[in-house]
Amino acid sequence: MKQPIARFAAVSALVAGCAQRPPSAPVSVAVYVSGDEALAARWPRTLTARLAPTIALRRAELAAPSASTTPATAAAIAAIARAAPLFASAEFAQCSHAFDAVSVDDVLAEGRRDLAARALLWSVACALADERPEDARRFADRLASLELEVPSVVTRPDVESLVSDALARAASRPRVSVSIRSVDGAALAIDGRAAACRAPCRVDLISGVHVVVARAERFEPRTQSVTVTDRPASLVIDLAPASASRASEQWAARGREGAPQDSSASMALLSIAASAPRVALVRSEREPRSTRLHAALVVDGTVASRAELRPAGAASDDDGAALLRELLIRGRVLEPARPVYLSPWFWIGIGAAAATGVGVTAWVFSRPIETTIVFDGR
Amino acid sequence: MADRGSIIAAIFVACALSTCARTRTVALSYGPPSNYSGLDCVEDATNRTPLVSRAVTNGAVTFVVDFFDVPANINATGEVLLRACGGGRCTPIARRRSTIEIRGADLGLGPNVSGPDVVRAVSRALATTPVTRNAPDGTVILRVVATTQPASELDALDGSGRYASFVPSKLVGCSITPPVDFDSTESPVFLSLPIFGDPCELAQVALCAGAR
Repeated sequence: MKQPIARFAAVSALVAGCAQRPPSAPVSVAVYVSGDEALAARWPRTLTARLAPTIALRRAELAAPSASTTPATAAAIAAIARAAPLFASAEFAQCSHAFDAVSVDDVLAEGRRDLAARALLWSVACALADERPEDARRFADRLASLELEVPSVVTRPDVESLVSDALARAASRPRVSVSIRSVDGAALAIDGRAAACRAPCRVDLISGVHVVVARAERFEPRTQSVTVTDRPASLVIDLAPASASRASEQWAARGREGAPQDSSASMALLSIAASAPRVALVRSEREPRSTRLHAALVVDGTVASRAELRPAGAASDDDGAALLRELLIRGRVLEPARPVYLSPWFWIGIGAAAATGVGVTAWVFSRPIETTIVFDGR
Repeated sequence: MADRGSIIAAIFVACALSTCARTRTVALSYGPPSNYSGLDCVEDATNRTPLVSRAVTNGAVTFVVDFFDVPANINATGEVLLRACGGGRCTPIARRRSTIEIRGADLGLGPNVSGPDVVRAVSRALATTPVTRNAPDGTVILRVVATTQPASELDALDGSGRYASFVPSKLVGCSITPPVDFDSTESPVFLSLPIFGDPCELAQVALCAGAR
C-alpha cells in the first residue's frame, strides 16, 4: 500500500515542478527617442506589444533642468548701483549697509571675480568714509588675499592707499599648500576662477578666507569656504547625488558641448534625469536612402548594451521592436528565447518518441508469423 | 490542416493494419527420390499390391495432415522419431488437423500406376489447396496420412480430445517431415517415410500413421 502512495507523491511533485510559475511583474524600461519626434511619441506605446510581456516600455520624461540662477551676482550688482549715489551724497553709513546683503563668497562661487572685486572696493570706500578704518582694512585684506584684480575706477586716494598696502602685505605672505579632496575628477573652482584642478589636488593659496566650488556630473555642486592660515591645510568636500533636475541640466549641458548623447557619462545622467533605473536611448538619423538607428541601454547608471540597425527608408515599428529586443537581450533585461533543448517538454517529447520507437520496433519484431504450407504441385 | 492530419492518420492505420502479421509460404514436396515417399508401399513382402490401389478401388482418398510437437533442439533421424512415436504413442496437436478429400478420378491413377507417377499426381492434386494458412509455432513434425476413410470420420475429436485412429486396412500411405520450424525455415520441406528395408510395407505405413 505504501508504494502506490509514494509513487503518487513522486508524480505529484513532478507535475508541480513542471507547472508554470505565476508571471512576475513586467520590467519597466524608459525609452528616450531623439532625432524623430514622431517615433519618440509613438514607440514607447506601440513597441510594448511587440516585445515580451515581461517588458513594459514607457516614454522617458526628463525632469526640467535646474534654473541657472545667480542671485548673489544680482544682489551685488544692485548693491553697487545703490552705493554709488549714496557715496556721492555722502551718506556713507547707508553706503556701507548697501552691501549687507551681498555675500562675496557667493559672488565668487558664481564665478564673478570682477563683481566681487568691485563690491569689496566699494565696501572699502564706504567703510573708510564712514570712519570705520578697521572694517575698511578688513575688506581691503580680503580683496588682496583673493588676489582679485582691482577695478580701474577712480576712487579717493586714501582708499587706493589702503588697498595698495593690503596688496603689498598679501604679496609678502608665503603661499600655503591646501589639499582638497572630493569626488574623484570633480572640477574645483577656487575663488571664482575657472576650474583650477580636478579632485584630488593640491593648491597654494595666500592665507585668508577662500571659496572652493566642487562640481561633478551626477552630483550636486557644492561651495565651501576654507580659512587658510600659515600652516598647510586640507579640505574635504562631500557632494550629494544629483537630483533629477540637476542631472537633466548636466545632460543638456553635455549636449550643448557636443558630447555624444549615448556616451557612458551622458547615459548615466539620462538615467538620473528620467528617474528610471533602466533607460533605452534610441537615436534616429535619417540618411538619403535609409535610417540609422543607434540604441544604448543604461541599467543602474551603467551602459549595459548597445545596438544598431539600418533599415531601408523610414524606421518602422518592427524595426524599433527588433532593435529594442536586441538591446534588451544584450543588456540581460530580456531573456533570449530559450533553446528548445532546455525545455522539459523537449525531453518529454524525446522520451515519448524514443518509447514509441522502441514500442514500434518491438511490435514489428513481435508480430505473429503466419506461415502457409502448400504442396509443391510440380 | 485537418485534412492533412486525417490523411496521415489514415496512412498510419493502413500501414498498421497491413502489417499486423508477417505472412510467408513454405513449399511441401515428396522427396528426395532416394527415400520412400510413403505413397509407394505395398501390402507386404509376399503380396506386393501397392497400397495406392486401395484409392483407385475406393474411388476417393483422404489426405490427413497432422502436426506433432517436438523439442526445438531435437537431433534424431526420422526413423528414430518414427519408432518413438509409432503406434499412436505421440499425439497430434489438437485442432490443427486438416483433411483433403480427393476423388480417385481427380488423381488420374490407373491400376498399374507406378510410384513416381503417384507422387506427381498426388502433389498436383494437393497443390490446389493449402495444407494450412497458419502453421504451428515452434518445431514440429508434419505427417500426411493417405487413407480411404472419409474425412468426416477423421476430423472429429473424441471426448478426451483425441482423433480417431486410422484403420490399417484402409491406409494408402504415410509420410513425415523432419523436425522443422515452419515460421523460420527458408528451404522447401520434404515428406518421406524414413525406413530401411525393401519393400516398404503396410506395417511400416501403419506404424507411421499410428494405426491400431
